[in-house]
Amino acid sequence: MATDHTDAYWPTAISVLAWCGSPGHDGSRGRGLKFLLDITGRHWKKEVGAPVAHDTSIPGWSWIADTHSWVEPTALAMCALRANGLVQHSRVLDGVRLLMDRQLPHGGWNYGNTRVFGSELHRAPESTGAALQALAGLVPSAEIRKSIDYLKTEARRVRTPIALGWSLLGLGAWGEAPKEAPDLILQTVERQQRYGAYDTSSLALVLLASAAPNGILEVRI
Amino acid sequence: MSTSQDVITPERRAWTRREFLYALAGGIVLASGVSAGRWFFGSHLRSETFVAKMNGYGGDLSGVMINGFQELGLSSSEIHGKRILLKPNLVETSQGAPHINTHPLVLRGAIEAFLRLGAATVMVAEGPGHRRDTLAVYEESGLADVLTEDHIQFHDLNYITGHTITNLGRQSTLRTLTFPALFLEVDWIVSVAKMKTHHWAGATLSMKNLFGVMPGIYYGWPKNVLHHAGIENSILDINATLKPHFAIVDGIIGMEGDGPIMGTPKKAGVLVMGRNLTAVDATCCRIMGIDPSKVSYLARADDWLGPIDERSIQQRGETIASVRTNFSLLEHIPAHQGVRLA
Repeated sequence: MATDHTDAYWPTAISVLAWCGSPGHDGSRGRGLKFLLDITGRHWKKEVGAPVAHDTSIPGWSWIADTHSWVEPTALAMCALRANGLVQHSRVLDGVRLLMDRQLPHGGWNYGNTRVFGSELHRAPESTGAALQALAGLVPSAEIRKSIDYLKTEARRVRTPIALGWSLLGLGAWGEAPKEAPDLILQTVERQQRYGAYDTSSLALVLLASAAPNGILEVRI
Repeated sequence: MSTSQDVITPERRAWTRREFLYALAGGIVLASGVSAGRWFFGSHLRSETFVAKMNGYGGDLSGVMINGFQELGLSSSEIHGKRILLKPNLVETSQGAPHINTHPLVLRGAIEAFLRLGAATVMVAEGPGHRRDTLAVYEESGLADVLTEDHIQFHDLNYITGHTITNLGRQSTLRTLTFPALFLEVDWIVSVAKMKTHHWAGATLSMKNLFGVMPGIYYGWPKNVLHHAGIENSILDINATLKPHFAIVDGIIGMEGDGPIMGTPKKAGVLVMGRNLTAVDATCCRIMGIDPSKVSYLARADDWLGPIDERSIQQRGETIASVRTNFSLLEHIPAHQGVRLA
């Protein structure tokens, strides 16, 4: 994010994805991949009776160095590795385990806690979309069916670029994008009249959903 | 509004028999290693909080706040020309759970109140802890409708340029803290929090609310850097370094039980305000039936960031006793154990 915040490494996965297909950036892409393969979030053996229900021992990726692994940075890193032919790498397989462990009992994902002190937490469309995108084709569809169903409802409801963008990418990766996706994208883009111009990354995400009807790993621009 | 009379003034001329006995007991406490002065007089720091009864969100919130400002000695000459940043508690949204977040009409009331006192600008800013789509939280919480109608700017603090400064609290191992650079452009930061129990911290009020100012791009979603540094340490560090100017706590409908997200609505029917966040939070705790001295971060803030001792907080407006309503605490949550106010 900034030279004085080298611990905020989360944009690495996005950069690696962006450098795919750009031969001029092969060196940077390679260094980014190595970095992603070498780093994990903090994880520890799950304690009996712990207030958090998820398996804290599964290695994934964090937003910031030396913190716990969470859903979205793990999903982004998995996408970056998959886009570079590393679909069978142990880190991707660990990521699959982590994401499946963090799937909420009623379907969907949030930032990465499932139940705390016995209460199931709320889900969020952007987290769910990113997780489904990363898992596409790697788990049986029956195991993520409730999440797909939840996200199909959300995709028709939300009109903000991050939530809609990830919802469509996640559904598209499983061949479940709603037919009206172009209209939903257009309506979301038009809401800049109300809120002012979206920041570049949010606008790019929702436009990417338009360019990638089958998900981020099969982009056609 | 009534004004509480049960305030101990610091200046005393002669000792009563009761005070003599207190002093004697104080000597015994001193002998056991506890500060007698602090035990006897309460915190060295003094502050005032204002409590207003509010039956719902439909009343004249700005009028009540202006009354509170007056009670607290906050004048238009102090606010005139200032740029005010209001920091609500917007964590995430869920259908049927508006009690997670500061009610939008409380923010509208605060905006109107500060503008009526002559503020140059009032803006609202937040970096939700659980959702990356801040715009979705802004919209689904109902805040977007209010601020759009009122032509008030909202800033997403999660995706914002940072300004790194030395951590003045020094409770955690974090040597620096990165706040939004936007804060360099405002004069006052006001924590407009929600009155809620919290399953890690005991209670989340105006001090804990400031977790939300730390940008997600530097601290993550959730703001896990702060969790690993210790939630209580981080609350103290942020408050000691940022030095916020004012607090307004929305306790009209708060949250009890498994807060800050999964708890149930609790109508406390109050707005609590003050210049000192520690004092405001201590008063809120008492209203919630929680002993602030048993809430670890408040106990540690006592006599440093502000007072928590009831004798050190002048109570304006309603008395605590007249509005106290015990918030449910859960036995299986360690942060809730043993904190009930006698």
